[in-house]
Amino acid sequence: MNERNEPFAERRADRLDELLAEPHAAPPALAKRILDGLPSQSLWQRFFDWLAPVDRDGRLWRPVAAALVPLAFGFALGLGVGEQDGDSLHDDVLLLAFTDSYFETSVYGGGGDD
Amino acid sequence: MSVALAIASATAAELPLSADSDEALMARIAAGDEQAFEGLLGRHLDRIHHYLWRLTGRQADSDDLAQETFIRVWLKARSFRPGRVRVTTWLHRIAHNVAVDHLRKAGHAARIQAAEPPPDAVGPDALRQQAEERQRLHGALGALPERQCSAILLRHQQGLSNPDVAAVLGVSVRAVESLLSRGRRRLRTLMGDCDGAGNQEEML
Repeated sequence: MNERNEPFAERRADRLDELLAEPHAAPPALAKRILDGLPSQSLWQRFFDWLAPVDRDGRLWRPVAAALVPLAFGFALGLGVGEQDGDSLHDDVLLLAFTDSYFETSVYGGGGDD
Repeated sequence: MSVALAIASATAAELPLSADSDEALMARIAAGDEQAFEGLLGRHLDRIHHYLWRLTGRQADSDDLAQETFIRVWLKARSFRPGRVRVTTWLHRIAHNVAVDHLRKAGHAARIQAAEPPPDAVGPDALRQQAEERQRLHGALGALPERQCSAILLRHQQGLSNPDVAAVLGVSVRAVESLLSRGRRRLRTLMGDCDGAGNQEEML
């Protein structure tokens, strides 16, 4: 019984393969429709694609680098502020000199009881 | 003479494009070359449309999904990595994701109901048997679970290798083999039952 069914099953499997592999053509107007509907690739979109690509393998450094930019900016800003000469310290002392406590403790010798 | 020159120049203009590999076209598309995109579209639209039509079961849906697929290709061309994956696999992965998103919204039942007859289902008597056979296949594919249907279409209709099918579906090669085995068995059953005027929806 099985032997008699085998050629039939094989034939049916072959026919299935044939049907699946039959050629197919998309509607002729579809290609034009797709080309007409192409959006322009904006610079922002390109940047975003670069930053967060679909295939992220090996490209994780990009969002990491982007996240580090504000940190690096902060460091640069901090270093710039830190580089001051003596004059600015003098200015700070002068500014502090307007406080009462400064006069009482530093300029007039501390206690103010004399 | 002028006609011959025009033909010669047109052929010369087309030659570089047709001679380009898919990977070279992708590199040009990434740089915003619409002519290269047209070349890639000409090469792969029929295959992608065929896959989407078989998977969704509706001509109108497959038109829309093919358009969405190629628009994504245009926009995401820069993210394509030549050495890692073949262009055909990458295209099929995008098409598959677009189709799955669509089917998820529509639901599996909609997919079965949507399996409308192929365009050539009605014709002269001599072709009627073949047309009915195609219609049965179409209905049976619509009744298969989405993953089994995708695996069968990618392997047997699109001619992808098992590792490529695995890459498209995001599963292991062993899982693909299992999907193919179960899918083919079920498809044959559905086709056989349809021969006997069975209703494929009842098979679920």
